[in-house]
Amino acid sequence: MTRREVSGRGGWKAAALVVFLAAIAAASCGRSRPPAPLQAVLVEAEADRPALIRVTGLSSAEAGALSSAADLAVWQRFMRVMVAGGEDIAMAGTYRIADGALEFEPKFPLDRGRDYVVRLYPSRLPAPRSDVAIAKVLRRAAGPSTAATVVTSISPAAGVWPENLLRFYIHFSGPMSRTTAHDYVRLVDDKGVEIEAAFLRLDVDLWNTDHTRFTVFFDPGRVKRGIRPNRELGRALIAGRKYAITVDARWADSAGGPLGAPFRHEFAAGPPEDRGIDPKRWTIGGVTSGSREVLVVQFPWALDHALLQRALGVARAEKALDGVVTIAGDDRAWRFTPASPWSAGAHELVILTVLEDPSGNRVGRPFEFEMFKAPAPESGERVTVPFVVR
Amino acid sequence: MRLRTTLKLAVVFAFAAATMSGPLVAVRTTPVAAGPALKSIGPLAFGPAGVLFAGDRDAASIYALNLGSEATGGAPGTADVAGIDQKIAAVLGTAATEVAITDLAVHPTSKNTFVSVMRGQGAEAQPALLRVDGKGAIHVVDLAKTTFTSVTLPNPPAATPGARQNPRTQTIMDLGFANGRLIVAGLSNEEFASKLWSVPYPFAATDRGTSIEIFHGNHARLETNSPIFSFVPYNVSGQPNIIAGYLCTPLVKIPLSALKPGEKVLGTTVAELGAGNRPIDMILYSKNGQDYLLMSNTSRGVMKIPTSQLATNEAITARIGGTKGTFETIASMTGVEQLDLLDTGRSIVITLQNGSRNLSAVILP
Repeated sequence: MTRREVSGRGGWKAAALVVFLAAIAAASCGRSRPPAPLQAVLVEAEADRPALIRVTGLSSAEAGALSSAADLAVWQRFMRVMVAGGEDIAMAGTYRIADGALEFEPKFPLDRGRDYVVRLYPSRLPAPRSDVAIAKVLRRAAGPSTAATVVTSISPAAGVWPENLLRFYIHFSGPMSRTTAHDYVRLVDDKGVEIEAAFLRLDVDLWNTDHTRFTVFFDPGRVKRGIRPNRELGRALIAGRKYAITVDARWADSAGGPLGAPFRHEFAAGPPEDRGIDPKRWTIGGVTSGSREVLVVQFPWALDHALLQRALGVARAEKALDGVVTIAGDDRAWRFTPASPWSAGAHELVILTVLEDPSGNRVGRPFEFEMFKAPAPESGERVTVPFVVR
Repeated sequence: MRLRTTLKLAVVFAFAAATMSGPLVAVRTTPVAAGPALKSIGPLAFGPAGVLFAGDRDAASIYALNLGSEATGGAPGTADVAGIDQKIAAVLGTAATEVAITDLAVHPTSKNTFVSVMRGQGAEAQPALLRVDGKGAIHVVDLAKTTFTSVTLPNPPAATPGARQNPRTQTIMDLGFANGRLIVAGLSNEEFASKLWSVPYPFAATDRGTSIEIFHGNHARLETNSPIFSFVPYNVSGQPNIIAGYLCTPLVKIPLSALKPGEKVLGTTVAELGAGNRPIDMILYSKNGQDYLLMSNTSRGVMKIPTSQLATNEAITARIGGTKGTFETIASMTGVEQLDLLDTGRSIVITLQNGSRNLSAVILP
């Protein structure tokens, strides 16, 4: 099998040489019958190869002449595949002769539901035919329809958000597209009027790995007091007022379809939360040795839903315990069910210092504080709070 | 054009270095010939001997690509290409709406422009690297023909073993190469922390991410964890630094020698370039014996910033209103989405004009 790959332009000298040689070959052999008509068809993907375009009707001499062409331009002069309605530029891909047919395998999979134009120029075959150029439009069938993706929840889920909230998460029932959220997630007031410039627009979209959770940051320049956007525009949220986060159903999921429904989370803005996290103020519940009772840690205010799932743990004799973590009470409680029964004795609640609340306050240090009055930041990776299992 | 000269100022800022346990950076040090299995392709930067650093944001990895024959083959230089997004889409067999241009970088010798692209929006979206040559021909780089080494930025460990799958990701904001080290600025999708990684290249040893905090003169409070959006390496008074652009828009110099985990260091802000803005790209160039930064922004256009002020500013002691530092807004450069240095006299930009993206060379101001 001969393969030639194209992704741009090719020279013409080699093409002319092959045409010349092939013409001599054809003339010397002669033709006993008229050539079969050329036909282009789309061949759907199989397990071991992507969808491709196959051209049948080539004589063995024509196929052989193409096969022996060293220059991509020979193939591309005869056959070009382009996006219908797009630029007159041949798609990148690989040409080959397989089982007597000419195959074009695109470098990137043909989009489902998109029209592609295949142009064949019989007069440009190494042994030219007199047929006029052929144009055929081909399309892969749209993929099987899947259940529409929906927003399943938002974090924080509480009905009151501090007016200096820095970050929230939108959770989806399935994977979403790479389309940025900018045009689809809005903050509106109780009259439905959008609060402009509320969110931080990044070049990158902050998805989790499987595109089922999207992170939205409020513009920190408006959140922080005293900084110019804050002075000029104020905070996007003002305590005492009512708002909603809306998610437009036109936001495409990974299959390209819209969401099954728009989403709306209504909340009231509360006073700013500008305290550093202080684990000494947490309440650590009691558990009984020999049991697998749930250890419940309660916080004075909600902490970050995502960070709680990895930034808290339990250790005994400096060895982390395995267990199942759940978050409860609108992110004001952390529940740990140990994999093995509790042992009596000293334990530690381990807090990674990356832990934040939704306003960006960290352990021992609020999100913003006076420059030269700053409390000493937690420089270590973790802090611990001892407790005893009896 | 307007020239603004304002008070010199400086800002003190501190690095709180995170101490992490376990392997900090996963490294592939032996070149692999089968080509990288990129999940995505984002920031680009050329390094020594024409190696192309390509950031894979989805995998939090940086690939050092030896382009081999894929680096050459085109006409030298880069020709202007109108409708570059539509032409790239055509080559990739899709519509321009399905193409997201994520960065560009100019090859140091051929002066061809390499453009990173994500093709598609859905789960099957694929990365693509393209080369634009001096005749405007667009070539899809065959990554299978490249060899590579790579590093992966780690997620910090979870406090509970066996906790459910960690949905935290670490994205890459910008890349740069200086003094034998690859510098990577990152941002998490959870904590609002800015990490700066300094990794020796070739990837033999590893380094730790440094958490960064700055004191932002625009609001006289600690700017905790603000992410770096763009940076360039630059020698200030003979000392290697990176010059970093932040949200809202302090310009900060950070000595490379300071990027050591476990230490606090002092740095300096050299300018406050205006609120309601963030940097997109920065390049360095020389003109008439002077060095300049050229910085594209989301809402404050393109700024020409003399670097002479980097060495002379003092530490800040009070809040700054408005902008500070010396810079000039280049009114003729609008809609700039991507920016790199093409040659000694020109930049190469991708601009968005009337819904279409154009690749063009622009005389350096």
